[in-house]
Amino acid sequence: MFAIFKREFLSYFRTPVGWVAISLLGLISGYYFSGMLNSSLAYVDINMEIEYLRTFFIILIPIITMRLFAEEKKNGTDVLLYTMPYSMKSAVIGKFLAALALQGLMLVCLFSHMIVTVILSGYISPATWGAILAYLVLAALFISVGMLTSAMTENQIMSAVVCFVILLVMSMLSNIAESISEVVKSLLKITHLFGLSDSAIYSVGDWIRDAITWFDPYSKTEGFTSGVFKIVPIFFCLSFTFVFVFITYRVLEKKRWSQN
Amino acid sequence: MARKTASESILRETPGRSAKVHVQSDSRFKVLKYASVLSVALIVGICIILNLIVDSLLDKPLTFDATSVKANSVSVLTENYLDSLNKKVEIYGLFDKDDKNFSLREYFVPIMDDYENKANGKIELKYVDPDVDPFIMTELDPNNVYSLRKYTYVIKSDDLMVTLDPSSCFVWNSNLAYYYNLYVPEKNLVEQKVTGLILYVASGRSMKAYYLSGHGLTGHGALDTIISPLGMVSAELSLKGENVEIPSDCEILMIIDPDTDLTITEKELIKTYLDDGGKVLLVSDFDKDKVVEMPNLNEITKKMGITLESAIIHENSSDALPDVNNPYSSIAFADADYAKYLSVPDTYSIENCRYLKVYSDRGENIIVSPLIVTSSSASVDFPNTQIDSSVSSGQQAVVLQSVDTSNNRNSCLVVLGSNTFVSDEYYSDKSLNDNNAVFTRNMLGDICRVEISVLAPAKSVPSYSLSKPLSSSAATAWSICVMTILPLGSLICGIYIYRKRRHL
Repeated sequence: MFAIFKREFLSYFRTPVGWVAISLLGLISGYYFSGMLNSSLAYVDINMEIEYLRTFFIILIPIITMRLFAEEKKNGTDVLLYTMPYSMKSAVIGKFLAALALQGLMLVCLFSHMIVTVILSGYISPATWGAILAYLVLAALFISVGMLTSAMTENQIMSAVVCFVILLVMSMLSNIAESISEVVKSLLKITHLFGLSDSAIYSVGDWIRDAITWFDPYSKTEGFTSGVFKIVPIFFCLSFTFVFVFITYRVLEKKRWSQN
Repeated sequence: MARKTASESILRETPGRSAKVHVQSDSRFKVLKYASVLSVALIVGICIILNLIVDSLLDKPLTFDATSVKANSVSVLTENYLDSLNKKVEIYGLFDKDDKNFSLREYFVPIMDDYENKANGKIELKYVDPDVDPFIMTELDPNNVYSLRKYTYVIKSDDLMVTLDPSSCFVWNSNLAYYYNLYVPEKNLVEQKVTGLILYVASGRSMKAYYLSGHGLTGHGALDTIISPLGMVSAELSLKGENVEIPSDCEILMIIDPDTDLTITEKELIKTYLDDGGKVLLVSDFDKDKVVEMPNLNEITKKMGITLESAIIHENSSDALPDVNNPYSSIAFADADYAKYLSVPDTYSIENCRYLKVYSDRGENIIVSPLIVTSSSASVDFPNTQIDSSVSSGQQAVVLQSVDTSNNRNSCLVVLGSNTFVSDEYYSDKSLNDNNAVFTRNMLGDICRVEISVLAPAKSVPSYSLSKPLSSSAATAWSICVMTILPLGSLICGIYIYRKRRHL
C-alpha cells in the first residue's frame, strides 16, 4: 500500500496537477487573507478563511481525483493494477491516501497565513485547529467521492464533471432540502392528500427537510469554525468516506473480474 | 467496442463446453453481481444506521467547547441553577437553526443547545422559522403584545413570557461603531442575559424595571444586563400624553440621564407613584457644556429630600485621581455605614459627577443617606461665578438614597451623580463585574428586596484585529508576499515539470 501511496503521491508532482492545485489554493487563500490584512480593522480570522476555502472543494477535489483511476484506464496501465501482487484494497487505499496527503499539503498556504498572523500579533483561536480537522475530514469524504467517479468513468474530464456535479449537489443540499420541503408542503396543501391539517403539513415538510439535511456534510461540520468541536460529524464524514472507498473497491473488483 | 463480460469470454474461449457449464458460470456471475450490490447496500445501510445511532446517543456527550473563553457552554453557576430549576421553561428561537443570514447565530445556537443539554429536560428548546411556520407568532403571542419578530428568542414558563433581542446581549466596540459603522462585539453577555431571563420567567413573578423614555434616553444595554441576575426585565415607558399611568408591575422606575425636564403630567405621576411606595432611580451627571435647569425633576427630588445642583464635583486629592490633569474623573468610595450594611466594593470610578445636596426642608420621615462619597478633600465647581459660600471643600455625596418611612410606605429614591454606574459607554471597556456594576446591582437588589440568584460571568470576545495596526504599505507588502510567493513558485514548478515531461 505504501508503495502505491508513494508512487501516486509523487506522480502528482511529476505532472503539473499537484503544482497547479497548490498554486490555485494558494492564490485563492492568499487573496482572501490579503483582503483581511487590508481591511480597515486588519481583522484577521483564520477560521473565516477556512470557511471560505471549503467552498472551493467543488473545484479542487475534481482536479485532484479525476486522474486517480481514469488516467490508468486511458494509459492502459489499469491492467497492472488488476494483476499486481497487491490486493485491490491496497491500491484503492493507497491512491486515496495520496490524494488526501496532497490536500493536506495544500494546507501549507493556510499554515503560512497562520504564521504571518502570529508575526503580525494577530490572534489564532484554539477553534482553528478543530476547523482544520473538519476541513480535512470533509476533504477525505469528497476525495472518496471523486475517487469513485474516477473509477466509474474512463475519461478524466467526465470524471471531473461528474465529481463536480455531485459535490455541487452536496454543497447545496440544505437549499435543495428546503425546496423539496416547500414543494411537498404545497402539494399536500393543494391536493389535500391524506387530509392533513396545516400544522401537520408543516411538520411533514420540516421532517423531509431535516431528513435530507441530515446528509449535508457542510452543515454538520460548520460549527467547528465557531468553536463547537463535535465527534459525531467527524464520525459521519469518516464513515461515509469508508463507504465510498468500499464502493470504489467493489467497482474495481467488478472490472477486474470482467476483464477479457 | 463493448467489453465482453467474463461469461461471454468463457463462451468464446471454450466453445466445446456443454450448455450446462455455460449456465453454471452465467449464474455464478449473477450471484457475484448480486453479492456485490448487496454488500454495497449492506455497507451503506449499516453506515446510515450507525450514524443515526451515534447521532442520537453521542452527539451531546461528544460535543466540546473549543473556544478560549468557553463561549459555547454555560458556566458552573448557571449549571447549578439549572439543576435547581423547578419549572419547565420553553425557549423558542424564531429562525431556522441553520439560517446563515442570522449573523449572531454562532454566539447563540451552541450555548442554547448547552442550556438544553444541562437542564435535564427542564428546558425545551425549539427553533421555528416564522416564514416557514407563520402560526408560531399567534401561538406564542395571540394578542400581539410582544410584537414578536424573526431572529429573536422567546423564553416562557407558564404565563410569564419574555423576548430576547440577540443584539442586546453584547457590548459593542463603540469606536468602530462610531467611526466605521461596524458592529464588532467586545463582550459576550449571552449567558448573563439568558440565565437572567430564565430566572425571571421561572420566578413566576412579573418584575419589571421601566425606563422613562422621551428625555434623551440612549442605550441601556449594560444596565439591562446588570439587573438581569435579579430576575428583572426592563421596558421603556412613556408618560407623555393622556391617560398614561405607571404600570402596576413596575418594580422600579429609572430616569437615566435626562436631557430635558419632566412635563407636569410626568412629575405628578411620579410623585403619586412615590407616594404609593414606588422606587425611583435617577441618574444625572453634570455636563458643563449643556446646563439644563430641571425644576420639575428637582421638585420630585426635593420632595424626597435631595436637590440636584448645577455644579460639578472637583476632586483635589491626588490619591483619588487616576489622571491628575482631570479633576472631574476620579475615584469615589463606599460610605462606611453603607458598606457595613450591604456588601459592596470599596472604590468606584466616577466622571463629571453632579453635586447632590441634602435638602434641608425635607419632611421629618424622609431619611437621606449617602451611599458613595468622594475623598475628604473634594470641592464643588459652579459653572458661573455665583459661588455657593456654604459649600466648602470636604467629602461630597456621589450617590444619595432617600427613603420615606411615613405610613410604612418605604418609597425610595436613589440619585446617582455620575453616569459611570449605568452607561453603556463606560462598560464598553469594562467588565460587568466591575465595581460600579457590582454596586448598582447590589443596591438595586437591596431596594427592590430581591436576592441575586445567579450571576453568570460575562465573556470576552476574542479580538481578531491585529494588535499592532499595519500601515497601508506594510499591508500591501504582506499581501504581495502571500499572494505571489507560494502560488507563483508552485506554478513555475508546474510549468517547468510540464515542459520537461511533455514529450514523455
